[in-house]
Amino acid sequence: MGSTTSGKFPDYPRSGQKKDEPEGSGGRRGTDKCARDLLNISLEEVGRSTFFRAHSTVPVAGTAVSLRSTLVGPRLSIDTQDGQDIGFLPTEYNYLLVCLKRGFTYSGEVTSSSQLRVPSVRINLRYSAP
Amino acid sequence: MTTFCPCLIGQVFVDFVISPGSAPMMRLGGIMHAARTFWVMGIPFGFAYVAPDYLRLDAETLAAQYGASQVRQIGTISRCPNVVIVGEGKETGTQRYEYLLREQSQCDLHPEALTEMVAASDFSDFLIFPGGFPLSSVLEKLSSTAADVHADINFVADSLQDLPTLRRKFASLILSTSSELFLTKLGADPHRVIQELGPHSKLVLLKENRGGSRLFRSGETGWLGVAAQIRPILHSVGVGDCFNSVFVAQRHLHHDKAALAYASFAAAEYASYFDDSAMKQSVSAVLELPPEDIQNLGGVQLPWEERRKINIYLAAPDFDSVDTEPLEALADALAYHNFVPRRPVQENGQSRPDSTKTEKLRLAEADLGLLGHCQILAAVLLYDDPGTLIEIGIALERQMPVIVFDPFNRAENLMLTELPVLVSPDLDTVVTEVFIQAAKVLNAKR
Repeated sequence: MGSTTSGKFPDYPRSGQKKDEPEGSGGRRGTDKCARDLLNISLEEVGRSTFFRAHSTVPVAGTAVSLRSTLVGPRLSIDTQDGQDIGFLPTEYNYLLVCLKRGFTYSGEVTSSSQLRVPSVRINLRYSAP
Repeated sequence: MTTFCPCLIGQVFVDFVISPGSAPMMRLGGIMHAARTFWVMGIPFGFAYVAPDYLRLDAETLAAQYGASQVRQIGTISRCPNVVIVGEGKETGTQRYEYLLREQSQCDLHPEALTEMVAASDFSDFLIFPGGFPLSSVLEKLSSTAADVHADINFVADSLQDLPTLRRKFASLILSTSSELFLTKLGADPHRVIQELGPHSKLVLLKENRGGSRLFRSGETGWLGVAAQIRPILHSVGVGDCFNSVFVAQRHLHHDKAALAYASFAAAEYASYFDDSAMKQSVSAVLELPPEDIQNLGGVQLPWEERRKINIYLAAPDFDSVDTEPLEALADALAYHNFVPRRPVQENGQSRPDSTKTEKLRLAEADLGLLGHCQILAAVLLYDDPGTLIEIGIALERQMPVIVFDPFNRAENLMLTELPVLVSPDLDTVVTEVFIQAAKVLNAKR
């Protein structure tokens, strides 16, 4: 049987430390939540989006999308390449606002969409580090 | 507006956090969490701490490195190591922690040290975390200052009697719906929070875990609330302290709603990291967001008492012969957060092999009747139980939100994996989804 911790307190922050480098830029994928691809996200308010109101349908699988860098009202919006919003990210992804502030960007594509019960769109987003 | 120059008063602990699936984590806690937050904000602070002598070197070194302008040990703890072992870091349900040898903790207060510290600096605010030291003696010392005094009274259920010692109103009194003070002394009733604490404080801040937070302001009726920012977290230890520190600091820059919103967002980021530099980077980015963005940001706002309106049908083989531990864990977690978990087999009875057809039909109808009184269905897949799967189907057809807790990763059928709002083996994720769906249910009713 042995101890599982180092047996001492963690390294303390160094005085005069420079502003931290974004972890994503160093390829430490997974440790920084900004530097994570987001897969199979179901968008909200699809039926009220500009795209749906303009076309009376949902964007087809494969449509290129990106995360808008500014809020639409109180929500994070997903846009097509020509700037039409197709729905909002669920609010549990609000932390991406911080990631946008840090210079990360997110783009990807529609993976599936349906109007069977209610208009619905699922997307994948991949991050680009600043 | 005065320059914000805060002083922290409280104990320093060693936090030892054990989370399933993660390596144990150990670091200095107690008021060190607030110190860590002031470091992130670039705000110098006073650090008046109480701790066993063996922690003095590490506590004083770290406080100074976090930017403390003054550090004094104002009390010495004996017969207790001030070690807290946290066994469930995310507060999915009742937070299981062990504060070692707490009952035999003895504090030798050094009032002259606090007097000297108060005299030597012009602190604008004192942020006190009572517990483990005589609060009335500290408040007596602060009564001669003109500073704003804030106290997080979560951990001292009998602190109410000491509050008048300040001889003026607190700037803010802060507590959480998880605290013993709220759950027992104040009857888990937000109205009693106002009644009991309002006379002592200009502001009363009630933090409601994943349901948001609200502020009661003296002289006003009603609460000012902001949504919780729910996201994947690593821990919940010290998160409330981060919230307090950001709120107190941001009130010097912004109005109350924006200050609350910054505090809520920053606390969620604090909970997402153990590593100091990563946390600092993220919380700093939060504080750079414009106030108009952050205060209007959507999230989950689900006041404590509103959760009683949410009945959650727990679909599972809740039978005598089955090991229902995951079901018990979910039911306990939901009750902890003041939801109403409904267990049909426990409420209506269990069919036996020798039950008559009439009796079986009565039970089936009673279960469906109970489902009709519920707003959300949470299924627990202990095995491929037909009853559970049928109930999932009925709830889906009734347009109810269906959340599937799948602790053994059994779900493969596409109807089961694709139609519920969530299928997850992680209890914390399931509880979070209940908050999200419950808020949507209540919003749709308004």
